[in-house]
Amino acid sequence: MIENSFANVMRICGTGFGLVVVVMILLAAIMEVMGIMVQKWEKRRSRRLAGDKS
Amino acid sequence: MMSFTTGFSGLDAAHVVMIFIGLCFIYLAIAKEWEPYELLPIGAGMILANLPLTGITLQPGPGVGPGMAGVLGIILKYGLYQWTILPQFVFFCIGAMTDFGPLIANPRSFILGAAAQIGIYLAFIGAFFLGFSIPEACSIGIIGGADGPTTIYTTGLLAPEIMGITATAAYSYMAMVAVIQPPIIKLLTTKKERQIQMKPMLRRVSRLEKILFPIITMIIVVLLIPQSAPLVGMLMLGNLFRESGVVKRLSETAQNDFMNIITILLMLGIGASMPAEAVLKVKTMLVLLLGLAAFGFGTVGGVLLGKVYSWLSKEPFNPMVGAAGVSAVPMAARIVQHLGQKENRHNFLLMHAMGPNVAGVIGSAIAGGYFLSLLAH
Repeated sequence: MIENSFANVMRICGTGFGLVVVVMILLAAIMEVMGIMVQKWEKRRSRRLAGDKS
Repeated sequence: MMSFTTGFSGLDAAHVVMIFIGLCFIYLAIAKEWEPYELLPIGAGMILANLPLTGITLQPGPGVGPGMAGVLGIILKYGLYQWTILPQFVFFCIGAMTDFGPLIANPRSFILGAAAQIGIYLAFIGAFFLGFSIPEACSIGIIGGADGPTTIYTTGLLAPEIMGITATAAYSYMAMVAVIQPPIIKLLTTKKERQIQMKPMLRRVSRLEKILFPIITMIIVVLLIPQSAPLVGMLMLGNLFRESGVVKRLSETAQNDFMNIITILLMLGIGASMPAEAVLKVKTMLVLLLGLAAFGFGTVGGVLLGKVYSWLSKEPFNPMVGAAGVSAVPMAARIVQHLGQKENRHNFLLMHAMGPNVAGVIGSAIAGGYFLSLLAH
């Protein structure tokens, strides 16, 4: 059980908001990288498929 | 000796007030079409729960014989208080209904979605100073996420005694986005900023990216905050059903029939969780005011980060887009689009605002998961 104190409230606030920000930045970075990699892979794949056809 | 008693014998002024409030909800749903799918069953549930001597909210448990528990009591116990399965299924259905494409196309929207969660923490501090316990303050703060199911799930586990009020506040403020957000946005932005025209289209997002998104998000978030699994996990599971394209029937069921069934049960349950003795207190007004403040501060946080983006970005960026970071999908994004068009009719901000809007859903679920990881034992 967490004690009802101002120090605990500030700790929960700081850690909680910090955690939300860090996780969201991490997700943003991962999605940015994932987007770039998938786009590159799809370009290579479409070129390969076009090469196969010709 | 058999006896017959009418409900009038148990009716008092508090019940009458609650029945009147229930009628107001039904009026707003039908006449004003304010969140009718939520407010109509909540209003009806509230009336049923406050009609005396019905036993309809009697929950199953020791001393309650077979057939004695009321239907609303069963919904309350198994759907909201003990098993809390209803908000989790709502998240699953929302996942199946949500297109995360705008967020994948512009991942920096994640950070706008995070900034708008500041309202949760400011309202949390406010609630603590007004005398609420830490679990109650968490439940009140989470209203600022403008996310009904997260509010219900978190409150159901941390402070079930105020669940009816926090849930009603969350859904009511979501319905009032058009009233609450525009004055705040106008106060924090100049006319010139509101007129900023962003590029009309976001990049095309491939099917593979849309399939990878829920899988990666689920693994990362749940590994970091395991207690957010019932919310983020279910949201991403529903989204995977949608984007996989191979379980169309399941996805369509989640988006339509299942969502409708869960909505009926959840909203009736919320209405039923508001008996007069639990609601007619000064505390209730404080919860409503703090919830409103949380929502307002969330909007402020989003717009202020939007302004920073606007100053730093090489491409034109309209700071109003940040306001959509408070979940309230898709109303908050629509408000941004509406305000943008009002200032500059060539402005199409909807898709830009949808990114932070859906990021806000993930952000508030993470915030709820963190509160639960600390307090729900």
